Amino acid sequence: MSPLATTLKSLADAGSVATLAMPPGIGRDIATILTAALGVSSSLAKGGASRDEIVRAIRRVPDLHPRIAAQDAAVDAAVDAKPSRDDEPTAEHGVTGSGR
Amino acid sequence: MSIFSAELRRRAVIGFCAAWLTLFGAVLAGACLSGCGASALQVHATVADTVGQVITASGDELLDARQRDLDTAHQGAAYREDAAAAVAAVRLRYEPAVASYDALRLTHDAWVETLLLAAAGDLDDAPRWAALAARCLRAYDGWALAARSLGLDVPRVPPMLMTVAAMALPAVTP
Repeated sequence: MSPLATTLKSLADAGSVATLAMPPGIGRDIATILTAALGVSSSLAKGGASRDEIVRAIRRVPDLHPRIAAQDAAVDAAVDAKPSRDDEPTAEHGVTGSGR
Repeated sequence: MSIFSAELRRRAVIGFCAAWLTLFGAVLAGACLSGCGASALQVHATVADTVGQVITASGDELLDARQRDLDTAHQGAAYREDAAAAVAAVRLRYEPAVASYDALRLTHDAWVETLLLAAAGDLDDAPRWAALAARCLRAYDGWALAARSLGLDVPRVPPMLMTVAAMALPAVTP
């Protein structure tokens, strides 16, 4: 997408958000028309994109598994840092056998 | 407990998988055979991009919720064994959601592959067709895995076929 098209799209996006925040009235109607005009201008500015460029611009959905693996590794480390039930009596009383 | 029998749910999932395969066929036929113009392709691409962003956002939400539940699970246990059991239970609970996200991701990949084929406009492009078939197989397998994580006995794609499908992908995939 060209810089002009990017700028126009950003302005249209910001305008649509600002329009929603405005109270109903003539001001909002004018802002709606201006935002729509910016949107149309943005579409026209990027009209020169080739068919290949159009589909290559589609953002893919990322794979969650690397992030899940990182999450699991962090949680496993936190779990491993906790005391074991088996370690507890030995740590508290220093008993390794029956104690008698 | 669902009011529908397991067999009925299994058939519903298979029907759903068949329906989206048919839908892909329809989209492809509509896009390629009618000579999809640049503006129509732009509409397809915008919809695919928006849907992809919605799936991505849902994945972020899913990961955030999983992280919160994992933290709660291990912080609430004093001993390692209890924490490990609680964490394993959370992982098990999130398995169907993660599998469903994967199925959606793979389906989106297949959709984008369909649009790439349509954009190329060359119906004789065999590697691209092979990639599309591979994406569709992987997407079906994703749905089958998601259904299986919910306890439904949906048949998966044979491993050998998945291996062949994987070989078709790297040649043309960006």
